[in-house]
Amino acid sequence: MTAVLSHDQAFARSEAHTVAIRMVQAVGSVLAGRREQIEVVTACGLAGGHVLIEDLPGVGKTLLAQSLAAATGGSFARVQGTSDLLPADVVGSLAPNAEGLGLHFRPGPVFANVVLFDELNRANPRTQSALLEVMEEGSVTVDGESHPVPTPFMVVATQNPVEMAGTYPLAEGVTDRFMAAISLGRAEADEEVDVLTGRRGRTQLGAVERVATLPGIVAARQAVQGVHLAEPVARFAVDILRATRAHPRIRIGASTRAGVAMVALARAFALMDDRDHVAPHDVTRAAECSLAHRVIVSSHEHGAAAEVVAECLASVPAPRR
Amino acid sequence: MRPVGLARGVTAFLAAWFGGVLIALLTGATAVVILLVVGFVAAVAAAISGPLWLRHAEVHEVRTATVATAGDELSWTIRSRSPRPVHATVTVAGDEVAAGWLADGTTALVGRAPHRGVHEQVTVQWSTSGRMGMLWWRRQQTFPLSTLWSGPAPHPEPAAAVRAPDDPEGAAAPSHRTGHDDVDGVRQWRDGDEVTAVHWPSTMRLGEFVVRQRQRDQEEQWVVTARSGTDDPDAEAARVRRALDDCMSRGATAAVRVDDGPAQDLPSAAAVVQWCAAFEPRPRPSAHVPIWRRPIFAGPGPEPDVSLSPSARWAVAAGSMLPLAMLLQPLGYGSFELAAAALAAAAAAFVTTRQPEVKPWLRQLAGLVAGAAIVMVLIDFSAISDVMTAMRYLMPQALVALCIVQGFECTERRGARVALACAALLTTYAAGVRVDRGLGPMMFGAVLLMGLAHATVTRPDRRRRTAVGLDEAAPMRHPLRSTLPLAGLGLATVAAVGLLAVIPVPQGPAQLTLPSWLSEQRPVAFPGDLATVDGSPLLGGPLQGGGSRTGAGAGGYPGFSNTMDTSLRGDLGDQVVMRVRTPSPDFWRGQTFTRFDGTSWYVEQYAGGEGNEGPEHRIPPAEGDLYDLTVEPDFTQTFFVEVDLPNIIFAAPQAMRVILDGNVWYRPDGALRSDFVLPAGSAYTVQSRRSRATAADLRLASYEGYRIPTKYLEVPTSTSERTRALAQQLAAGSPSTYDTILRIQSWLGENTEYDLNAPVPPSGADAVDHFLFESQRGFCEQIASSTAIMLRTLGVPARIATGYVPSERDQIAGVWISRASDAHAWVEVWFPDHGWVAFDPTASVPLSGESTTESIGGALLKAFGAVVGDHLVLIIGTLGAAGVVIVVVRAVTVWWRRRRRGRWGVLQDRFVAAAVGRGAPANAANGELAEQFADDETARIAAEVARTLDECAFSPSWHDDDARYEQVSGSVAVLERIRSVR
Repeated sequence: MTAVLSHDQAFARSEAHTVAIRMVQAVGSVLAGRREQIEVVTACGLAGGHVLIEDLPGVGKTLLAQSLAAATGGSFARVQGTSDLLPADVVGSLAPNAEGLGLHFRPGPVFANVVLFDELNRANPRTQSALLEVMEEGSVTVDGESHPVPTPFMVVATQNPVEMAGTYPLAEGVTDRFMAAISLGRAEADEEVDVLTGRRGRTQLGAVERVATLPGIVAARQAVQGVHLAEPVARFAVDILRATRAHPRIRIGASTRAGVAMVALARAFALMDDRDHVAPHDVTRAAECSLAHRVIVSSHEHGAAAEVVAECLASVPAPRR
Repeated sequence: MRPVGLARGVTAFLAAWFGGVLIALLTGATAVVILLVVGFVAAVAAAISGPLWLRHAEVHEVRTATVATAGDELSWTIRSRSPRPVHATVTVAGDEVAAGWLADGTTALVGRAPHRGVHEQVTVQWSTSGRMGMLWWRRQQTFPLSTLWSGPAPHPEPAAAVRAPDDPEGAAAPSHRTGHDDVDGVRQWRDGDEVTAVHWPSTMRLGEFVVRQRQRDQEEQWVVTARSGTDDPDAEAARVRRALDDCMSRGATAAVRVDDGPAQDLPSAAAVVQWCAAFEPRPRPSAHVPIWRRPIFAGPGPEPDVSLSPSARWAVAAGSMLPLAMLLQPLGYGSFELAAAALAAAAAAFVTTRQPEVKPWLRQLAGLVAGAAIVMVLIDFSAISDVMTAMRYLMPQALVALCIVQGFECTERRGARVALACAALLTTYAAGVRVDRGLGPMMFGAVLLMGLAHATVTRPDRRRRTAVGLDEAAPMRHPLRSTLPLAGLGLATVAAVGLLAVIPVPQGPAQLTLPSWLSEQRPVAFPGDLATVDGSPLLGGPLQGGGSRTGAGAGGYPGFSNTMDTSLRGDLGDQVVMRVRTPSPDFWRGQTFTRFDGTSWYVEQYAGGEGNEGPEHRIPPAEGDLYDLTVEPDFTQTFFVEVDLPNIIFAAPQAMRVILDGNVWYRPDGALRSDFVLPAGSAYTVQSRRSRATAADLRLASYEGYRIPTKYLEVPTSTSERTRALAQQLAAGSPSTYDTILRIQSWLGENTEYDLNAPVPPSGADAVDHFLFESQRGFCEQIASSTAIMLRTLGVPARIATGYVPSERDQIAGVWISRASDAHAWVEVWFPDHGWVAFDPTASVPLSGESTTESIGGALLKAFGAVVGDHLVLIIGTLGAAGVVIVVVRAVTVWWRRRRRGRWGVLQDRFVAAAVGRGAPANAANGELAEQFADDETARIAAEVARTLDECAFSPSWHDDDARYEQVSGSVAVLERIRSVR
């Protein structure tokens, strides 16, 4: 590594860091409280991943996605999941030309920088599956023709608690596509007062400052990929994955894809903390939100997965100097 | 917190302790008392170490699943903090569902689900017995449980189900309707789905089984009827569950109603279990058993695990070998018998540790064979003639055989404890009979070995742990962890010495078992006469001194013959002649001499003397003895003979009772003689009446009105005038005879010199005159002779006695030691009302009336102080050297660690220690460790330290920098200080 390149990298990193911090601030000015969740979502965006938000209606899931789109200055689209939603309604479909000669592709709502798929688990499994390709490949294939979605591309899906009526459980294949799954939780009392009085919340959405350009976001994503992952830390991440596979209460442990997502998220966390390397606590922090929705736990109790992931984390010794 | 009971087999220790008390009463051995006190203190420590451990053990939370089937395996997660492992029992509504050892942190106990019902609280009992595992203590707490629905296991017979609403007959079971028309979606595979229903395209895409979901199934509803008020609601609930499960597995929706009540929809399998769990709660009888109905000797006991690991079994065997050797050695057994006993103990350990287990009958047979073999080896049956002998001699052998046989029963902890108790009893017995120097170290070693063995027995067997420690790697650094054992040991030592300090030195053996044995029977030629050590008669008549210093008397000392030439003193070595177990020292008198001819003393010649058949002899008062015959003897001495002695029975004056195998000839002059010589290894016991005379009593004594036999006043014709004049001069103005004696003694002390090589008086000269006025150098015989002669010239009855004086005391065995050089001669002066009183300016034996009894602890401390005083330089040097070694080792460790870990590595270790000291888990990442420092300022410092350390470890752009190192080092020091302040 030459000094010049190192300098350039350091510059790109500090730029990306600035973008990240400002994004967190911008979203935080709209969404009351929940600093940790905002950071995770921002980190996901920087790491090029998608987020699954699981919570009750009305806690600010949509607002979070909207303000994220507004802060990046990207386009925003929203899909509301219902049981009769068809794949074509999401990715787009072939429609007759204006001239009436043949068909042309009419892009669906996924052709936006930030796509909010609301109540994903109310959509039927076919529609859920349709989302898989676009999330993984970044392109839509209709009638043999691929249509790339704009970059940066990020899906923020929300999910009602599984116990609620009229829901289809998300298949493991779907949940595995999400880099992180978080639960927003309720805001603090003071922050709820802010929402009710209009100091924060949807009323402020228009005032969100655009903190980065789309090329800036792309550059930040590259900077995230450049964050150094030392050998012992990588081994630590693998140990965590292996611990989930060995845990007695977990039926199916975390996949390698889960490990990739976890490390990418850890890189983003490191960058947000203005570091050029991933520290072990970045990995544990990433593991907390990127593993729980991927492992399959024997008991169907709510929160059991997060609990066993925490147990796995506690059982793996972190690397140190 | 309350005690729950003794571990199995601990009662054997109690029994052994009381057996030890019996041995102490029977032998009066100091060593036994020391062992008993140590045992008592150890038992108290073992009993209170449980609560001490338990006080720091806390259970915080219990979690488990919310829906379960009664009796199925269920994991119980317990969050606890405890510096040591404690055993926990999880109880739900009187039903013990899980048990296991708790790790420090979170532990998953694999147990089972409780009986049917809705459970909202759980009781955890956690117990420990401390290190020694004697007394178990338990704490109990009830925790709220996030509601646990424990449903019944499905009954084979389903309850009645009716298809609703349009099928009133309900006879047909729900069946699948096939057809493509009604497919309107897919869903995950459920148990009971048919293979034909699998939707393969979705299955391929999603990687798991997906089946077609039929609208018709959703519409198909079955209502299951539960009968209320049946005898067994559990069985009814089980039948309902079976029926509902059948419905669910067929894809129909299920509802349930009680009797004719309204139907209730059950949307999911979980809802089914919940409904069945809540159906007709049934009161459960309490499992509590009142304490008086609990089995004492049967039952599992409070110990969760009674298994014995092979290492513990061998530790028990090793712990019992030293006691075996300790006991067998003084009983006169050689290395063959010792090896046989050790072999038998090892065989027992071998047999009981075999895997697979040896069949019980085979094991018991082996035990009996080994016991019989040991009995054959140890016991010489020809020596046993009657029951009393058997009782007296077979006790230790029987104990050894018992210990060996018990070894074959050590298959679990109770057997091991009983075996250790047997070994403890052997040790106590050995302490009762042994009087040698090696007893102290041996006792220490035996106690240590047995303690270690019991700790090994009690340690939880790691292989059998049922619990899964989820974060065992997070040890709680409790301050007690390192200091408690040391402080406990110190406290126990202080307590033991304190207890010993209030226990007086035992007053000798009790009446029951007065030791007496002859190691060899060597009869003397003429009973009643003196003999040499081989039994041949010692010829009487004056011995020719002729300048030779070599004694002609028995035992190498001229005082042990019929004639004592005052110019002779044997060539006496340093070997131990006898050890005497007795509460206080006294003169061990062998002979008395009455007639003096100017150079030699002569034993009075009696015709024959009177014999007395053994083994127990009543001795009548000798001439001049004045004591009340109705009073029991109060001063017991047991003499353990270490070298061959003639047939003189040494004893404290005024012997009333002698226990000796053989006849005893008692003489009017107070000397006792036996039919047999006393070879090395023999023992006999004498009980005497102690004189209570004090100095004040003696001063008041008056000779008026007494007719004193002239033989005690006779002086030889050679007694010079200046001797008489000196006596008169010293007696002049003296208020009492007692004071006169003291004056004579002090005059001798001032004007003569104690010298074992005093010049021999010229032939024909009076020995007393020569000593007093010519040489003025002499030893005990000259001093005693001159005192006696001067007193006789003053009309005071006096004679010479010879024997041994005790010179030192073995504090552990509690015996007084006399060496060959302690052979001695002293004056006995007769006082009215008191009889013969010994006076001796050279030996430091106090008047018996003025001697004080010491406590064991005081004597021990005194001896310890003497040892410390003697070896002060050595001790200080050793301590200093140890200190230097510790400092050097520490410096080397620091240097090595620094070399191995680098300076940042050392900082990292210090940071981890500081954070872990505040309760952080030991395997957390630096960033998480930093979160332990909650205070604003320290949190910032800790975060910075963590960040730098991570950078050092993982950053590609890291460069070492002295200034930075200094800064982080300072920050770590700040964090460490906070820890210590806390």
